[in-house]
Amino acid sequence: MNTNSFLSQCENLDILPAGIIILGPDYTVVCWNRTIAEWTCIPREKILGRDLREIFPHLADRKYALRIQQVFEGGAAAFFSTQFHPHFIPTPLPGGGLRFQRTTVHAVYEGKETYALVFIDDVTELVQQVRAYRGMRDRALREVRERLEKEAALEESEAKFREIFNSANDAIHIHELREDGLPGRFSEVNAVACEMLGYSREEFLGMTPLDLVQGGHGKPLDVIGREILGKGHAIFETEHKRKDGSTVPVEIHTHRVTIRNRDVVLSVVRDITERKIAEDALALALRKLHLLSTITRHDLLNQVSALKCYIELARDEKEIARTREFLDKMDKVLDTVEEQINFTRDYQEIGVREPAWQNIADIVGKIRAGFQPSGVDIVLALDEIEVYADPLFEKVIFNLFENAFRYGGPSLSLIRVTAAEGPEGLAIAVEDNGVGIPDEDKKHLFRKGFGKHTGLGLFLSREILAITGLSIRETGVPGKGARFEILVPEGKFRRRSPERTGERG
Amino acid sequence: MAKILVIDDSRFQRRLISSVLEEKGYEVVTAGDGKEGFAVALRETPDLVICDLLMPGIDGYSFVRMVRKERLGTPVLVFTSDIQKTTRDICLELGACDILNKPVDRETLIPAVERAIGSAKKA
Amino acid sequence: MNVGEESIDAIRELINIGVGRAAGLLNDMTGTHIRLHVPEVRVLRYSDLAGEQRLLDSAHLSAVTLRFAGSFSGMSMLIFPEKGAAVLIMALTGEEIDEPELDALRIETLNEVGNIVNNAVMGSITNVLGERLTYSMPEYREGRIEDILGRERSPGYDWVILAVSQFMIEDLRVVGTILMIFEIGALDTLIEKITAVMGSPP
Repeated sequence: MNTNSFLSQCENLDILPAGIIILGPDYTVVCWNRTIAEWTCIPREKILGRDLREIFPHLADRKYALRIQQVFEGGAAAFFSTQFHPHFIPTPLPGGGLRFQRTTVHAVYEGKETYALVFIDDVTELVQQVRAYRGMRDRALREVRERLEKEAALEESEAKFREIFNSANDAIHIHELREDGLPGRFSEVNAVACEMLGYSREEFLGMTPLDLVQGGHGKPLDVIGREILGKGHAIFETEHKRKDGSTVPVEIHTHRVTIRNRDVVLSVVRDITERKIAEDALALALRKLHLLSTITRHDLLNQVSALKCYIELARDEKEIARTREFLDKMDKVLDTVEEQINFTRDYQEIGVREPAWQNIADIVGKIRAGFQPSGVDIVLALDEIEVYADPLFEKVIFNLFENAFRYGGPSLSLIRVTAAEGPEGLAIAVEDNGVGIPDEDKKHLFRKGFGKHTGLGLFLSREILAITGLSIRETGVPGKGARFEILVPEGKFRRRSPERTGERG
Repeated sequence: MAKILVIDDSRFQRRLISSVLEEKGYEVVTAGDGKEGFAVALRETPDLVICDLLMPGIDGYSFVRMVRKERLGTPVLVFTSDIQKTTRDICLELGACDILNKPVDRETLIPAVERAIGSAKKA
Repeated sequence: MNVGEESIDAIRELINIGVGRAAGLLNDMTGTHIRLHVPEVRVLRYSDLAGEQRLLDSAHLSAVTLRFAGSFSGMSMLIFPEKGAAVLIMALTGEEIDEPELDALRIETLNEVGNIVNNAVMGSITNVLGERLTYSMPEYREGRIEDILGRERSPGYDWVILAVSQFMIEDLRVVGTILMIFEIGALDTLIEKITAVMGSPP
């Protein structure tokens, strides 16, 4: 072994806290300081003079060999980082695991020989710090990302909500929920809600749902409150009052939701006017079916029995004059049968077509034209009012005119049609100055079969009007004239706005 | 004596290799890229091609592929500065007969050349 | 001095050899194949270096330097855009993190990559020179190109070899620049040696 200057002073390297090895060109260990001896538990005397690759064979790998070779050839120092070479010389830690190292290999010259000085730093602590830092950083980044994602998701869901909120076909109310389950103030309403009831959003926000309620709820209020508090949702029907005082039947789906950490009630309010009408129409159809199939059948059978009876009598009758009498009676029975068949046809027509808004002045004007000139004054005192009714509504009015002309008598000289708003709604009156209707007739005026000569009969008129909730009664004074009054409830009539008139013109 | 085609985009490298080979008595033809090299290989029918890998245009990989596809039968010895083991595997897989690393060193180049030409003759 | 195409060709080949060797070492260390490309090599005046747009592209460059002295003195330097450096390190170490960032350990790792490349390129050149040089320890620097060069105010710097190398690691493309900055006379020494070698093969 070489015994010149620096190699002889290897002991001085013992004081350094780094592991130091000096290798001869053939990897012979010529110096092994105390630190590396302690780390590896290989004492100096056991390793000096040996080829380091015998003990640490991985150092013969090309990734080490080529670079260390370059150092032996006088090249620049080779630097082995912790990440790529955590354990250049594997050394156990007292607490388990291996010591992390950062290693540099330098060329040192002694005479003509080149030696490699391996300098190993213990960077275990640094590695732990960096790892802790990376963990913290990754966690922080993850948290930031998650928060951003959450915010984006929230923003998206809010945007979606807003879109649904404003593009819904139904009114949507959001109101606070009081602890007793009763509704608190509105906190938000959509455009449909404003349109439905005629309040502005600002007006809404000063109100509570109870301010809108017209009559009672489909369910008692406290039941609704309990359902909302308990199940989180409730469904009920009620009527809401518009700003103009009119009402709208609604079905309300309420849900208890949390918006921006506040417990609120979200109600989807559906205008069920149309549905109500449909329901009524269905009920009417059922009634018609019932009538047609029972009463009418009964009536027809009565006539058939009578007919059979007259035929039997006529068959046995020898007298020609008596026989003719029976034939006349049969003829009358057949007239009745024909009328009854016609009735079923007319009755069937009712409610077949959708109800529609109809202008009373237009209808009455048209009918008046059909009756003139007649020597009877027909006076109209009507505003531009539309009535929601079956398309046969026109025939109802026509029938009233026809009745006036048929039964009015010689004193008839005036028919007047008026419309007036009262507490029950709109009253459309068709009155004349004829003989009027006797009290005994008034009782069964609207029964089926009364007034057989008329086109429809008052029974059918009442049925037609009933389709959309309209009713009819006779309020005339016998001897002074007949007066028929059609009552149109709130919501079934409307005053035409000038713009609408303009549109039509 | 055998004819060897040396393909390298570096004139410096071509000169170094040529001089080592010519010193040994080989006949040397050269080309500056894969495209030119392929034309020379067809014309000169060399006994061995020594080919660089990284070249502009048709590189060494493509050249080895072309030689194989066109069934020239000429052994190709790849001579590259890229010492990656994966590169070596790729070249042998493509059909190179051997791979040597730069810089040129006559102690390894000449035996490799002899080996390549010898095995080609036997085949 | 006029640096001819022939000299540049030889220098390119020497750098190529160094880069190829460095790639081989990195492959051995990481098991990752690195696709290499022919480096683009130019020789320019040191005073023109700061005007190099390609290098000035990034305000955050990471560089590993190696100074050498002897009959041939100067500095070799491997430079990456900071993001590129972090991507390279992560590609090589196989770490999966979202935000490339250089911390103490990664800087150290980059230092080793630079050390490998610088040493391999210097090895390739000294192989031709046939001279032994003395070297400083590898040093890591970062900032703008002026910051990285700033400490080297030596008026002795003369010529610069600028080699732009591309590495493809899996699908990642990393562009690194190797700078060799020579003190007065060093490039002449190198070219003389190259010419001599071309005349008489090893």
